[in-house]
Amino acid sequence: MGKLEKASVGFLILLGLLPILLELLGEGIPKGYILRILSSALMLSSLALAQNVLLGYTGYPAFGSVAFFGIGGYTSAILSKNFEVPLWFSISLGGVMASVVAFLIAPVLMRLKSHYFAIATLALQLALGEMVANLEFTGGTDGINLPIYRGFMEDYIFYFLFLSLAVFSFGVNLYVDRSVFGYALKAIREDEVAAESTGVNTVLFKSYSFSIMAFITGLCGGIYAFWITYIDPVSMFDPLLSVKLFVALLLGGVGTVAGPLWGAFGLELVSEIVWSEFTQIHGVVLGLLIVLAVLFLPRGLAGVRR
Amino acid sequence: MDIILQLVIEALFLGAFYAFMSLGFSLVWGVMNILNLAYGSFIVLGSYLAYILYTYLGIDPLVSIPLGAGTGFLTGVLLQKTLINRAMGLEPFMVLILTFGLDIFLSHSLNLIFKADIRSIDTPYAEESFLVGNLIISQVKLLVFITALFLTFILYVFLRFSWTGRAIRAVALNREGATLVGINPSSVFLIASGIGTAIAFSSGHLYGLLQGFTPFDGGFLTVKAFLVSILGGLGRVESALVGGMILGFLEIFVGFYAGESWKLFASLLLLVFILLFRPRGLMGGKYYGET
Repeated sequence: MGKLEKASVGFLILLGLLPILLELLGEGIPKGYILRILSSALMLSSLALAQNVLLGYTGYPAFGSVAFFGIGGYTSAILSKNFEVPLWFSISLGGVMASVVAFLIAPVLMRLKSHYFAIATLALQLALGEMVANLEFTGGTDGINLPIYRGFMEDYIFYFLFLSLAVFSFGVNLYVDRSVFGYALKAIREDEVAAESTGVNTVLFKSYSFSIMAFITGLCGGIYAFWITYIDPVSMFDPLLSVKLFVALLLGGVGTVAGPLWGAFGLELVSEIVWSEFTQIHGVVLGLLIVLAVLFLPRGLAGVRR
Repeated sequence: MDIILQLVIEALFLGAFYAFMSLGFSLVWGVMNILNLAYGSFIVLGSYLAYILYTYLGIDPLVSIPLGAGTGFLTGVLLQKTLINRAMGLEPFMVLILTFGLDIFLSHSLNLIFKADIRSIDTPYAEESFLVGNLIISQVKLLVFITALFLTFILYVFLRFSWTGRAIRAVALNREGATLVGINPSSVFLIASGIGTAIAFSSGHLYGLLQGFTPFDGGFLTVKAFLVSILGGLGRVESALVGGMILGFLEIFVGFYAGESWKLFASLLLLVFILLFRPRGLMGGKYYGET
């Protein structure tokens, strides 16, 4: 493992131990606030790491990957609300649902390349949002209210869920980076025709890559839904979230294992500061930051080091 | 029967507006291979400009179109010099993110200045309409229709016959070839970007006349411009007309028969299907170059 990757593993372990520290320190510190920020950062990390499998290793920018965030979120919310499926199970089913949908549409969708693919997935995301807003059983534009979670470790449960998901996504990236499976994906990224001619079943591997991305993104949507306890089409299919995860990915460095994690934490920290310092103009500052990041760090922070 | 005829009229009116609105987007795409996701926000910027000119100086939005187009042209040139020139070397999805960042910046800046209220330009003729047989024809929509067609025609003539227009098409078709015969691509890029943004601003004036607007309308306008550009096939003024009309008919008819709220879903679904099965559009054509 490289230095950055080792540092990331250490960082994740520290995050795992943090609740013990928070318990020991007791009442004096804003526990809820710290956990909330770290949870959002971990969520963004998972989303960026998921996208990294697809964009970083396979070379397909799914600009609308948040579509699967919505699918996962809505699936688990509906299952839990209407059929009283337990939390754990409905979140997992949300992820499964997202990856099944992804696997089914991948062979057709992934005939498109670069910005055609990017826009097609974005259109899919917006279309799903519109559909959900118009349907009866999804709660329409009113959305769905979920009960607040009570029970086992209720303060820390979502923090740990997001942390586990981030660790899992990190592991997946590590695996893809080093395995034969990953070599096949990288071959597709470099030259699809050449990959095909050396015996890589490109359609199948692209579909795998797309489904992995969708699985993690779907799980993320499910956890988010129960964490926030209220979902509606606007928040679950938000294009701003797509952009945020892409910026996190770019800041960190596309196609590296550790990059997306650091990019997400950096971005979340910056937007938290911007949010609290300049409440009025946070959108303006965020837009400006994105423009500057692309112009001056087109290869990401990890890219600068190399 | 009457109702269908009425819907057809509405669809034609809307379609012409969509066609003209999309020309700037597809021109920049065709010439520079850049998808400008901030395009819709420039349209909205044009609407606010028209709003200010009308509310504070009393200039009619249709009369102030040259002013809007001029501002747009300068904005486009400035944009090209500061951002797009640098972005052209980057990977396509980086450009998407860059322009999306610009879009967020513009829409939130507008929101800061004008707040999120819906604004509308209430010209004296806004509510006027007249009857032809059993058809109701709104005066504003008719004026917008005529203006959009007229401006589209001007652009067509410009690209087709003027020296600059032919240089733009030459660069779109083959950058190296155009350089060989003495055309400077970077000045063509400046002009194309200027014209693209000028079209965005002018269609903003029309948009402001057609309906109320908020700072955040830009996103869906961009998606519509994209849809129109690929529907007809990228690269010809005529095919933008075809694409615009298809979108106009789709929106009006789906809106009437299935309900207003399904309009957007229908156009997005169409977008996905076109991308998947006819990515070069219904009319083919290549980047403004072929005649």
